[in-house]
Amino acid sequence: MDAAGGGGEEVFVTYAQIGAYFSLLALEGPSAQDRIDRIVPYLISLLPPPFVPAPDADADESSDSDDDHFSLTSSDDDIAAPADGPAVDPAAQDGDGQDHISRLPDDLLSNIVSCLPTNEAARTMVLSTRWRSVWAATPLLVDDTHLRAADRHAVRALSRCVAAHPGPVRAVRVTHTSFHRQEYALERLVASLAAKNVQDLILFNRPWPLDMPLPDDILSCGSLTRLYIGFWRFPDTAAHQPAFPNLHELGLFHSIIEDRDVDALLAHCSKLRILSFAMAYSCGSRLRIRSSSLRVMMEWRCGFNEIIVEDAPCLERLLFHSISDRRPVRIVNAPRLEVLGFLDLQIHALEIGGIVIRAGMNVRASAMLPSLKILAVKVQFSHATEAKMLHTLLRCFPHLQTLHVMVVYASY
Amino acid sequence: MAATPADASSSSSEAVVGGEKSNKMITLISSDGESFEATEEAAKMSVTIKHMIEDGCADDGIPLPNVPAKILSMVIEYCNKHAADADDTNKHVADPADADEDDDNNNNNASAGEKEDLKSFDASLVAVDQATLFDIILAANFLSIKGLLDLACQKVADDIKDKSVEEVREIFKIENDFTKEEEEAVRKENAWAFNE
Repeated sequence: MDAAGGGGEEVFVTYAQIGAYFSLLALEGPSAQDRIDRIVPYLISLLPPPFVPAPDADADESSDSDDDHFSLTSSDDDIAAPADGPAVDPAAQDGDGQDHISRLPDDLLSNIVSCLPTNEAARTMVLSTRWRSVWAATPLLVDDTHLRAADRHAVRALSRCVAAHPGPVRAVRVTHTSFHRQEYALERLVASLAAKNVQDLILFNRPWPLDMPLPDDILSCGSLTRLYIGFWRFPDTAAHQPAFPNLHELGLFHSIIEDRDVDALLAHCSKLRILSFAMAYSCGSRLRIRSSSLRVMMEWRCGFNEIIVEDAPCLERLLFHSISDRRPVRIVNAPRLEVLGFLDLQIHALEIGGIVIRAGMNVRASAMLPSLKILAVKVQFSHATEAKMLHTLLRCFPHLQTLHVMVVYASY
Repeated sequence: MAATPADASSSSSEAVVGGEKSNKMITLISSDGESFEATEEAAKMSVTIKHMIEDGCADDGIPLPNVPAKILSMVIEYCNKHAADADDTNKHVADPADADEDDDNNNNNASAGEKEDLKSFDASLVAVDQATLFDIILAANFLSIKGLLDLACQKVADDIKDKSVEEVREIFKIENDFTKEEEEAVRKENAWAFNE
């Protein structure tokens, strides 16, 4: 899975360049299409789970959202599982021919509507005039896997669904829709979501292309508490300042974003707790963490040239799954860091408090992280320096409780 | 702990079992005057009751004028079952650093089995007639028992899923008070939901 930035010299600015890069890779291995077809489900599997599981639709379309997936960073795991018991014959429930459901107050009817997939939830509006107002008053939940519109009309169905609802929009999950050549509809959709105070947004563009611009209005979605984007080019924050005062969780998956825009996001998200990057391939970039609120930072298969934890007083977990070239990981100020890993001794050149950690060195107090409790390392023991480095590292973490070691075997 | 009807005039008894949690018994009184006993731990699954206990209003039994006996006994059954499960979960999560791999697998298998039990318990609890199901929803809402409310609402949603609008109206006896023109207009405005 080498789709992320390999060379370190290339900077992708146009779709043509990205397309050419993929074609180059295709000369030696699976085609660009095959590669992307494998990447997309992987990235979707890292997302928080859907709030309402997709109805049993065609196996080919919905299989990636229904598979067992783990979420490394989700803070939301309260979902009522559908009861798996014996299917109840509806006739058996038909007691006395009376309308009992109408005894429930509107807010409880809203609860029930919120348990339904998007299209079925909407259909309740036609049950009776009362149910129509219940639907309008129920915060909208949209999942594009629930809208069985044919591909061509997916964007239209999505836009109409959001436009027709008075709001607010509680959550939107778009993982199966391609917005190619639908820039106008995309812009209207994002503007509508911003206007309707969307709280939870997962917005993926299905390739191709890989660098479709995400509309500026995304930066105006001021009610967002959770945002995951995939396969976009992030808008320019210098032109349009981000307004995310409530954002707790942010995920930037396979998207192109400039360093200064990442800096701007961190500066303007004063409540951000969880930040994830997956397959970011804007090469030549350095990731600089300055955040007074961040608790968890995760990087998965990205090609950053440098990672600096400059000022993160609340950071508790720093998680990597890095690939490609060697890069420095500089931890300057992270006094509460408890979990660090996987530190790949071949790829990561660790620096603590400004001191480069060298195998066999004498570890001074300023090169220690006393807060660290759990460390995970990836090490090739046949490589003498790496083995020695592991030994030195352990002296940097005097209060370590758990050490996970992933052994890499030399492959020649 | 099965819920047993007790003499309405008896005060709640105190029985401390084991050293871990105080298993003080709380008396709950249904709308039709029946008394039920539940452990404090189970009763506190209801946020409403939890607040009353903490405010010291629970000593002479808690009257629940909105909840009939039949429903209250089901609610208590749910709370007993799930309070026990919550306790077990807490024990397993004690110290991840201690567990070696074998332990982890055993723990996971044990809780997997328990989870299955809980799922079938939950499923049979809500496999009831409509009137009862909606009474459970109303009670769970009044008592603020999130797990039970979600469970019962999901059951209703499951009964609505995959059915046509007409079928749903029939099952729940919902009267359609739209005029033909109104209904058509709504369907047309929201074609994205109605046309597949």
